[in-house]
Amino acid sequence: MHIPDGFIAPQFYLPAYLVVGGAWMWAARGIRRTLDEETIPRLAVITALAYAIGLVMLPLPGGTSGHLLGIGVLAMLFGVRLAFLAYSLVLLLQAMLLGAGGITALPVNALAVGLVGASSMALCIRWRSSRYPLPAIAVGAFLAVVLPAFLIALVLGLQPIIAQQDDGTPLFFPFRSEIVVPAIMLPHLLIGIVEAVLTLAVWRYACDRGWLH
Amino acid sequence: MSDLHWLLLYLLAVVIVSLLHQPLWLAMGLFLVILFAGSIRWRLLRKSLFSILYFNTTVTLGYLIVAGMQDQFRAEYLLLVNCRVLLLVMLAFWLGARINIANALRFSPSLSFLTTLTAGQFRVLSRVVSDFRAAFKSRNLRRPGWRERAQLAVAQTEVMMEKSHHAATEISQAMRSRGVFDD
Repeated sequence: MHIPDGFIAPQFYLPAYLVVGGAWMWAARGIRRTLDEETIPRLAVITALAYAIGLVMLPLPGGTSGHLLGIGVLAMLFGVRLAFLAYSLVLLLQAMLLGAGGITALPVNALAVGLVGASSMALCIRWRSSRYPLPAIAVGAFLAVVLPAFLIALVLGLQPIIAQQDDGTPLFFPFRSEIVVPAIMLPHLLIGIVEAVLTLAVWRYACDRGWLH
Repeated sequence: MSDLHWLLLYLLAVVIVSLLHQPLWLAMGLFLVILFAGSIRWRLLRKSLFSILYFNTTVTLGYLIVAGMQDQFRAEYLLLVNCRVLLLVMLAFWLGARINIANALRFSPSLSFLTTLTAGQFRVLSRVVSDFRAAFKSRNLRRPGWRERAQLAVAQTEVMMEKSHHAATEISQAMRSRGVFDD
């Protein structure tokens, strides 16, 4: 889902770096003042897990497949701050090593997927019923896919408005929201449903292993 | 120049490239990267083209259709956006091939250490995923159904979680036993 380099205007990505910088400081302060021999391995392993979960292919109807986003699983297991930091580091390493995503798109991807996605899952978990937790977890996992997709679609849809030549020719991403929102949202509604089902399976497994309280 | 200087230079280049809106300048930038990238230039170009293929083809075809229908088609736009994306991706790959990211982040020992550990775990878990895929393929003579593929996705995720859980404990114990954080 995340945006590659070159489609976000500097008028957008430079201020977005200021916002994501503040969010990173908030998240880092929350986990611990200094990283030590327990938090560093944990964060490294979670980051690698976030990356590897993205490699797991989701079967979609029609014989096609998408890939897991995994932010819901991460938020469920480790909380918003760790999930956000881990996902941001994944985006950085993916951009630098794999050419997936990109350094100009990183703040938008990190805020949308890492922060909003993880927060929506965390909120649903907080409001879950102790007797019937499954619906809240499923909704959280679904929203952790769909809300970031919607935000990213809106950001892309803004680009031809904020950066265009005098004759109206776009300079970065060319399509406005009325085109890009449905184009991104329709497949992600489907991915969100499949991810919710898989997150429930992972939640059950994590409960059996005693990783969730 | 140190790896950190290359990283800073790359970040500056990214901002400059995204401020350029003349396809000719971007094409010159591409030419310079290809010229100075040395023996890896064609591998970089191939890898970059492959990594942008899906998204850029989608945007290009979409633009051809939408702008064509609205009678607003501009060939310069397609040249501009494709040149810019290719240049940015090539710069990122060139930097990745030229420097060690962990070295570039040495201004923060924790961040550098974190990056090294993460890169190692990336490899371990990528191997798990590819092993699962290979095993799954070898067990299915016909194309597996939705249920089998869903079961594979769940099993992969569970194994990776289990492996990560143990890896975190092992790394932590190894660091403690070697006195990594003892000053």
